[in-house]
Amino acid sequence: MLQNFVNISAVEGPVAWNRPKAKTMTGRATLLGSFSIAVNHHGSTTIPNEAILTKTVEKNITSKHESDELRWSKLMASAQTGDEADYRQLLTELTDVIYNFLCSRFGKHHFIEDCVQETLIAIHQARHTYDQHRPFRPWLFAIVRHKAIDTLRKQTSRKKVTNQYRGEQEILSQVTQQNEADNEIIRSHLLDSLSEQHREVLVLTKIIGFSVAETAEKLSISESLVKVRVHRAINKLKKMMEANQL
Amino acid sequence: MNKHESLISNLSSNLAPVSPPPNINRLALGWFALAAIFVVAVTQLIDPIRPGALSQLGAEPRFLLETMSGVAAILWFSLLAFRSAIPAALTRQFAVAGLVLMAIWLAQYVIGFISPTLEPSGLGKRKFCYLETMVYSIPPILAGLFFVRRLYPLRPVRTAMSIGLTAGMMPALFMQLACMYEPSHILAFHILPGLLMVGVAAGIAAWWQLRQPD
Repeated sequence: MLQNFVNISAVEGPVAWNRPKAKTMTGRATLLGSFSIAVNHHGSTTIPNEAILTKTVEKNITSKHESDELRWSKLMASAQTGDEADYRQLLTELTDVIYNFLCSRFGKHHFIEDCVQETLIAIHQARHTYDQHRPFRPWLFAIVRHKAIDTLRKQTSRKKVTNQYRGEQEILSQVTQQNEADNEIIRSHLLDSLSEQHREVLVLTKIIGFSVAETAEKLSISESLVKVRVHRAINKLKKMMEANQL
Repeated sequence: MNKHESLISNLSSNLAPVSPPPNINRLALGWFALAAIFVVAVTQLIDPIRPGALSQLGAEPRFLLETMSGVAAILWFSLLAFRSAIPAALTRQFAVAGLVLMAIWLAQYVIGFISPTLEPSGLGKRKFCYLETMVYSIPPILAGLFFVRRLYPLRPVRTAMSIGLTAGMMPALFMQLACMYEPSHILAFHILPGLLMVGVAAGIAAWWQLRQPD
């Protein structure tokens, strides 16, 4: 290992990290796992040059990837035979990987959570197509990418629907004679105080008059989720109205 | 990641063992062989192939090359179609190579307008060759879709389109031996109906997808 070190006085150009203050200290401080900075007993610090550091970091990352790859491949092979514990471990590990991957691509958005869940379900449905003799990561990330695009598409169409029906809601509130309760809600801006998810289901079902099935289709969610959201939205509205003594 | 724990628990509880994945190349080659045998047999059964067509293969190297490049393109596309039904099994290079092979084969008919591979003639003309091309490709399409449905195509319609193209091009190629040889006739009455089957396969896949519960 020592032949890889160069004396600090011989390093040309900027050094990528802070030089150790205690030069008289003898020993080694571990940096990035297997990388070391050596301080000898003469007090002169020997540090690895930048190229070696980069190489070592890359080597560490590669070996981490390889070990993950091997472990996931084995866990999936075991899951294919029906081993629940291995499968649970695999999915738990992958959840973090998928979440971090999506966050690094799209930032932290509320749909990332949905996307992770969709991906886990897709992995479950596609588990019979994983071939142990092929690398695991490309198989996994092909599914992740596909599901991410799918979720983004759904998000876009959902926003379009919401915007479209927000416009319709405004027209309806101006032109048609809504029943008093509806108008009261709209005039008092109670809807605005609801979350977007609750507002959109309420507008679509109670104000525009779509059925639960139609609303579920327009928002690309299940009918039961529509019912739950309507129920919660109404409860919130009730509470707000009581608070406002409407 | 506590939010996902219940989902993971649900997915992993009562986990059923799954059969190991099939060798995708072997599956594709099996489908290709069955489809080719079906197309050849049914075409021959309805009407015999053009007289002297097989001897032309031996006597005319360009005709042999044209036919062989067609076989290679279709074979490659069948591998491509089945690979697209498994996540990450199809690489971009493999797909591009398939498209290049297909383009090379079809370009030979276009070149045939200037310099035909064989002397154009109406010998062996079949009355409904365009209909035959379309009809004979339907069973291979359905069989192909049945096989890939058991896998996990990330883009089912695109996979179906590849299957449709492969299945459509099989009778189109065989018509080169079974029907008259004339580049414009081949392009309009064999290749075009074969290409139309891409849409048919995509339609079937889309309909199938719509019927799938979420």
